[in-house]
Amino acid sequence: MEDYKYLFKVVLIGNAGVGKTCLVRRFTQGIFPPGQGATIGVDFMIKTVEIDGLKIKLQIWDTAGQERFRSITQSYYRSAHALILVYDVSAQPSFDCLPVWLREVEEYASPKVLRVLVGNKVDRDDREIPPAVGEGFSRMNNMYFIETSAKDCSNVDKLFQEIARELIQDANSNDGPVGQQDTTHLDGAAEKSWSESNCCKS
Amino acid sequence: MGEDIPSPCDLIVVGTGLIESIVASASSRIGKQVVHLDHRDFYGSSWATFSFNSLQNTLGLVDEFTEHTTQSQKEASDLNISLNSKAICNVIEKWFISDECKTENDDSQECEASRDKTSRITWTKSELLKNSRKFNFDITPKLLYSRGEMVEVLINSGICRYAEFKNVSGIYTFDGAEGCLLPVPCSRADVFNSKEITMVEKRLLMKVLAMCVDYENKSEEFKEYESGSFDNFLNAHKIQGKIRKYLVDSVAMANDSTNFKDAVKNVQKFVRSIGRYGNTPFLWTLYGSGELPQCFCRCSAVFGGIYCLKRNTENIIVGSDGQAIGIVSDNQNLMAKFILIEDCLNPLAKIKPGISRAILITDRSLTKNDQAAIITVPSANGKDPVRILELSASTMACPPGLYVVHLITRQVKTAVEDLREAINAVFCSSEEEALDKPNIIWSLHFNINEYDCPEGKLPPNVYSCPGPDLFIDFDDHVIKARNIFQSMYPGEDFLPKVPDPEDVVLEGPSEDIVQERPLEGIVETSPEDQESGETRQ
Repeated sequence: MEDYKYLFKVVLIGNAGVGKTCLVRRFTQGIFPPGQGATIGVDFMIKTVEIDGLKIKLQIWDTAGQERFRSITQSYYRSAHALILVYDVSAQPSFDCLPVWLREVEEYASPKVLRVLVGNKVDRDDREIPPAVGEGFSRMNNMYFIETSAKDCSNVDKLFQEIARELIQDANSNDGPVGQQDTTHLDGAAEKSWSESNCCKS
Repeated sequence: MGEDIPSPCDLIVVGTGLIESIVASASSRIGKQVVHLDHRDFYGSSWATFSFNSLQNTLGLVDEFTEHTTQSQKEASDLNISLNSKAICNVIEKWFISDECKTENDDSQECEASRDKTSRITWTKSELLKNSRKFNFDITPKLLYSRGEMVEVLINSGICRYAEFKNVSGIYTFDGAEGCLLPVPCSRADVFNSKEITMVEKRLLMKVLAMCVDYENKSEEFKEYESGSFDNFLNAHKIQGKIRKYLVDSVAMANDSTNFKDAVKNVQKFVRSIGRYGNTPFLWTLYGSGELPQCFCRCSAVFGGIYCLKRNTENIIVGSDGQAIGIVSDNQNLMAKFILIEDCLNPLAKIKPGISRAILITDRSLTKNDQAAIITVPSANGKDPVRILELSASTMACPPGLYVVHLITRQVKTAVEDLREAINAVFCSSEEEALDKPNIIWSLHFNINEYDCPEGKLPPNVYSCPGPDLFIDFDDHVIKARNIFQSMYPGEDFLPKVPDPEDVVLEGPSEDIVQERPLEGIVETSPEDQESGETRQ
């Protein structure tokens, strides 16, 4: 059993093509671009980071392509500790869609979820969204803000490190969207065989 | 977003109900290209779970369920996907509280009246609606047997990682004569600790349970009962009184006309499911049953399934050989080898009386339950019993201090008429001052249609999937989904285990990363800059 202090679920949302999968792959595996088709069958990626000597396991979930037609399942948002909303700094439409994404977050995610706005692809020359505009939007909506490039790797580690740091604070102050106590996970339960516990063994 | 749906594909699924979603995930899982559409703006069709506002919007504009018929030009051989049937009807909403704040006078009366320790919080309509998101109302609430088909499929496929569950903490049957709820003992210990039944009854109950569990091994002993009713079998073994109620109402989920074999199957499932996750055989899905179709859809998407809500479908295109070759969806032709549609969209389906349902919000528990409880109110004269599911805040069905109660029975007249008796027996009407019974704060009644679909009339590569049924669990639907999958793809594995994400070795270049170098001009708001600290609390 791997040794870690906390496990946090981080989910990514945002328009198709803004680089969500690239961010995850860059962070978890250090590769860019991720091989096309390789995402088939991959639900989430895991990476353990160390913050102030504590081992933190991040479980990072991608949209599985359901954002293409704006059809993300609500259950995707359940029990997320942090939510990363990504846009492409070189694509105005991906920024214009942010309010629509936020409405979905308001509707389905925990009100206590840590919300981070990420402007990705800052390596590109054809930037359309100045940093100040992204920052302004994040302030108005009480989100953290950072600009990244999955391609040249800038701020990618920092993004996830900061998220882990924030979530530890939330966890320590019992303020985070800590999930339900004593819920049952089907494959995690210590099973008793029916012959031990059932009511009509004679 | 201006993207096109890929065509041709292997399978087009229309409707995101449970069977459709299971078949979609199983097909994607073996590498088939699946396109999954729904004209609604939510997942789950008649299996969906809603917040307060979305429930009111969806059922208020019955249009959402009414489906629009768009006329488009079509070949003579095309089947029109009839989008004019209402899956849900007879919707009646009622409030039992006012929107005004209670006057102080009222409050003090209330305080005097309720001497018990659990003080009742007084809710107003606007307060409830303000908490809209904290409510999760199921159209089709169902339990999972811990060793039933659904649990096995979820575990075997790995899809269980998308959902969490709560143990059902209590099982009760309503004693009409005494007007009270009888707790049904589940475990061996429960039976022997029960003060409700005598030692002789305890032994008899255990004996019958053991017999039923061992049925397959000793079918000789059961020969004479096999063709008869469960009642007949119980009579022969002189099972009477409370233990008969336990057995019929809760353990076998039967009524006086249930045949022996079906009842025994249920008894076996009940007994074998005890102790796997908790003291009762049942699990409840956290956030509601509507999570489960979504879990299957997520699995399908992870394996390449294309998902598109708010997408109309007008026609099934039928070729000259009688096989369907595709559908017309928002005036685009989408070609596929197989097509799966919901019964309620089947152009040949005929509506028949289905399910009578009520959803209540109450101010206290019927059972002191802090998780989920199932209560059976038996009906006389061969009528189906009324099943009641009571959900506490810990199931995420509602805010703390309230309970969501689901009532389910077979439709005879309308939901209001079919459920009136059971509601009157168990709850107090608003005028009464019976403090031991919960008050109803809000109620919603509706009917869910079932459909008769004539066999063999659709093209052979078009499958029609039944919607919700009366059973308390999902297992029949899991079996139907598996059968459809196996008929489309004989010999293929049904939902084999997905690889554990932690074990997946990914392809891609392994040379090391471009060295990290921070770009200048990166703006980042530091945590101190933000007011988010407050708002996230």
